[in-house]
Amino acid sequence: MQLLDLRTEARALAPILDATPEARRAALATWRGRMVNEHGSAPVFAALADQLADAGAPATQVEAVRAMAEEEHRHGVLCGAVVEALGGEARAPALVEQPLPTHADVDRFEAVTRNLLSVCCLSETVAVALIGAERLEMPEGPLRDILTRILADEVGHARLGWRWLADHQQRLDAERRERLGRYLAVAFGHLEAHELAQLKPGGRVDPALGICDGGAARALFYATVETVIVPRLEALGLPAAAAWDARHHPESAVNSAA
Amino acid sequence: MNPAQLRALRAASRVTFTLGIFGCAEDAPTAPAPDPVEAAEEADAQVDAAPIDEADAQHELFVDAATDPSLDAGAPVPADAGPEADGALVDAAGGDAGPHCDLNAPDYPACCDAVGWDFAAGCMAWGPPVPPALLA
Repeated sequence: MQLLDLRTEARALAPILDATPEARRAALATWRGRMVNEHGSAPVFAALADQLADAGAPATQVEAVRAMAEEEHRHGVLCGAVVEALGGEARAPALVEQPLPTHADVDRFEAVTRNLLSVCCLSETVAVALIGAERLEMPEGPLRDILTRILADEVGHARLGWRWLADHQQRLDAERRERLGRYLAVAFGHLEAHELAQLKPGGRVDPALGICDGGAARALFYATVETVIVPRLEALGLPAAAAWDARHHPESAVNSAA
Repeated sequence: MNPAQLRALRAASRVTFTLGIFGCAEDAPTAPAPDPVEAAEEADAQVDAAPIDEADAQHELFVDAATDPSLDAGAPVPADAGPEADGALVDAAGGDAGPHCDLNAPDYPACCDAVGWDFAAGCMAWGPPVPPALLA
């Protein structure tokens, strides 16, 4: 069994927080979960950097993405610092690390584009909206400072994907766009399942401690996908609207376009 | 949605606009319609600008990638060597014999029991998770 243990690093950064025992319990669960998720994203970016290097991306770009892995690790520590500040311990079951899909059916450029779509254009853009809303609802203080720091990095992570798509428009011919549309159907379904599994309506809500309303967060998730991500991908020439519609049966999108 | 969510949505929309080699596609219909919190947003622009601007500076690094002809070798992607080791991860069972803490693993509950895991979290998603593979 692998445990994620960030206690040493987190305790050095733990802010001073004031909360009732009930609020601490709810906040502990949320922040410990975020600690796990954020730390678990570090190897995603590390693998993405390797994939970019394999695809021949400039060294400066590869190193910048590798730095994003460090940022995700730091986010895990910051979330762990909140856990420690709330009276808990910054340790938890670690996510089982899984390899980044290699997408061996396509060339390296398209393979890394698929992963950038999923990681940056989808997941991290949703994270920008969710963290941004939470930050705006949080009073000034050390916890908001932590969210500000995390949000700044997440904005950069999201922009990596959007800039990639914008910069490589000429390389996305019709066949590639069609294949990326098929992949988007899978990625949208994956994203929705991930978000809904962790944004649960009906729980305690305490914006001062970063405990958001799961129902409202779900609404924001859907709004972000439907009014920001899908239209922007469409504007960049990818069939995102059809992919979003096909997310619950992506195999049909794959088969019909094959 | 409440005003904070509307503002966050607009911030997310701004993130999707980047200055590539073909310029900004500012005419794309991605930004939500003007909302009643416009004035408040402007008043708080300094706060909002901080993370966006930091990211802008950071991502100047990516401009070079736009015209790099070496990117597409047209070759299949080699097998992934797997994630790198992480010093923060400890093997609590002294090996792989213990329960796996993968959400989908059958012994996930045992792993959670071992560390007093609390399932009451209601809004903990961030991430990102590992991307999915395309269906076979």
